[in-house]
Amino acid sequence: MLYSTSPVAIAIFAFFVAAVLSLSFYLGRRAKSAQGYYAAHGQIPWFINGMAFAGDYLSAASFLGICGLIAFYGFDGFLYSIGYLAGWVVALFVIAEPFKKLGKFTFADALDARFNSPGIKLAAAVSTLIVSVFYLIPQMVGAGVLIRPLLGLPHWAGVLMVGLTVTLIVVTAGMVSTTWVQFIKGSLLVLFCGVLVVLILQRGFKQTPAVNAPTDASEPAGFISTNEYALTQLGATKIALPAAWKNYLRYSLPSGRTVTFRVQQPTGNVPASPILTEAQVLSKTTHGTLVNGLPQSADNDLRPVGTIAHLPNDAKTTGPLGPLAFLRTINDSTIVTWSSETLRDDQGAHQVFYQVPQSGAALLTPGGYFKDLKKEKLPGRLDFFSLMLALFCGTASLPHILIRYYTVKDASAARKSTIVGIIAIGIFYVMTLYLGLGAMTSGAMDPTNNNMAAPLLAKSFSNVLFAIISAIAFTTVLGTVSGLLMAAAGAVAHDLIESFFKVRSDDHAKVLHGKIAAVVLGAGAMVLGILFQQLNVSFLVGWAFNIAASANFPALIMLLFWPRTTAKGIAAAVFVGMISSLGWILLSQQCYKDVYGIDPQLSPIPFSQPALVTIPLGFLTLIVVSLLTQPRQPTATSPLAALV
Amino acid sequence: MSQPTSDQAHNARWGLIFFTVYFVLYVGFMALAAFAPAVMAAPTPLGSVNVAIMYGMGLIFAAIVLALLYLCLARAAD
Repeated sequence: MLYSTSPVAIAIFAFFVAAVLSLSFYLGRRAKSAQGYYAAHGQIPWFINGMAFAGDYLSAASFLGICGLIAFYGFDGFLYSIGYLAGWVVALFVIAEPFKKLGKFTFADALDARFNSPGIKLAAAVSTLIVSVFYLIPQMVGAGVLIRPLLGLPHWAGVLMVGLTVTLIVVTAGMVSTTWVQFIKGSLLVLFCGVLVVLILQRGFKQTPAVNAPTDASEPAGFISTNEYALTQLGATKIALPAAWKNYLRYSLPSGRTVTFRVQQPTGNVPASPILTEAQVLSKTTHGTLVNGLPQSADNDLRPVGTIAHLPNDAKTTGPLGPLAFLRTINDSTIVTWSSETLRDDQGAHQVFYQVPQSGAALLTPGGYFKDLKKEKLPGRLDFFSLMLALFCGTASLPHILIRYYTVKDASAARKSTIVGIIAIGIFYVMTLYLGLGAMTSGAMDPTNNNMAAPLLAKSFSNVLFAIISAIAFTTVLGTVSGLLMAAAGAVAHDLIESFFKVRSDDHAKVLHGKIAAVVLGAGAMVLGILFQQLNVSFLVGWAFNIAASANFPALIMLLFWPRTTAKGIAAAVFVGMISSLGWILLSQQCYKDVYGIDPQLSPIPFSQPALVTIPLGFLTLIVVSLLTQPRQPTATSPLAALV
Repeated sequence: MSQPTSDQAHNARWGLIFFTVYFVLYVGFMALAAFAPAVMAAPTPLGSVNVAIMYGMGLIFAAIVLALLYLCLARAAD
């Protein structure tokens, strides 16, 4: 879909982003030294720090990705909400306090605290690098997604804007993710999403009659007809289609536009004529990009989707609804979701978006995205378990998350702030269900891209709200990206160059290494953000969680709880977990289809999330290698061995 | 590294207990979704919400409740 811009929206957006950036620079300069960074947080109240947790954690993935998944697939998007929050439980109850006892602040230093081993340093540095890059990709995709409906620019423009802004910030040693800024962003995000939810409940639902003739470009698509004869009365002539189009009919209107219908044979015993549901066709041909036969333009474009075909009791509208009534109404309605397939003929490649009317009840149970769950097939179940495992173990394995935990002075404040964070994050995730369902029925969704669901939902209420929420989300992306870039650049400069390769350099050179690393990594992330743009951002973050959990979780747990862990065991586990999960992902069907453009059936991988295989693999590697490399003298026991 | 103080051991014990409780709830959710989809679709006494949503929301609230319990039970360790 193409987007038109609104000067008001752009002005609000620019003002907001500029304000947050100036504030960040100002506060960041005051806390520039590592000492200052950590010491300052010792004075920050636990409530502020707790909301900063939320601001840090609720990145583009939560807001854009989950909302998009729920809007297009129903309940399965909510699985990400549940999983992301469960990860915090693991972090709080199992990892955080023993980890803090190690007294180190970075993940790599903590893994290496007992051993002082170059193998661990290398493994941890590479792991931080790879996890950071995979976490960066969805942020970059998210940036592009936010910019498109706001400025009407193509996806890569948003990626470029974020990439250049952040690289500039990091190279000039600014700090965008200070606690106060994260507090402001976290609170605003939760607040404005709350506003959106209230608006969604106030708006209620309306039934979209399916009998609009397909002419008005701004009305949502969803025409259904049972009568071919009526179409010919409109002056439409039927067109013969090549064999690839066997499920479709096409009519040409006098204006030159074509209307394509998907043919659904009626079910049931009574013979009836087939039902024709309107489809939309986006064609890439030698004549350029066509929508429904004519060139894509502001007047001829894909129409927005996401409507309700039937409300309970055949009501036309519902009026304002309470939260429970909202869910009940969805449960009893028929909602038109959209799916797509790509057909190729001698004209070119055609992406056909077709209607899939579903009962709300079906959408509110798991299985919309993990389709095999409903069919009770094994790969689907394994995929599902794998994802839930990755999310469960992933939060505690993300280096840049754990660091946040230690920016408080004492354990009591740390605990309180974590709990404030969990409450804020939990409330937000409850809201994601309503945001997603509201988007699903808003009639404003872009069928080509589910990442856009949340901003388009806001846009369907008001341009101002849309601008504000896009600005909040965009600055969140800026903060996350700069934090990740600094962590990754630090891994390269400090852990790799200095500690592992033992290149001695003065302070000036060290800083230079870091900056060059940041630029290179930033550029790499931008390229990847453009390559991966078709994938849902939550799904991409899920992959980052898979890698983090596979590489870091076994090492972390065994280090804390198993006294016979050896340095080689840790290094081996990190490498094996990282390489196996990365390889699995790069060979998966999703990558084949959405990144490389090869037929997904050629992929050797049975399901897309590696955690179920690669986390146990990591544990196994660690145990076997540790047992094989036991030192002659007994090593110091783990401090918590007495408990286990 | 020093041996854990009794406060830390106390916290760690409660941490593991709460973790185990949550883990059981979490695995229960996954098992239901994978092996008993009909149960997930069943209506709950609340009428408007099916088991899947109630359980899912329940997991979110459980995380908050357990975190608050931990806050009350944990002793300030040094």
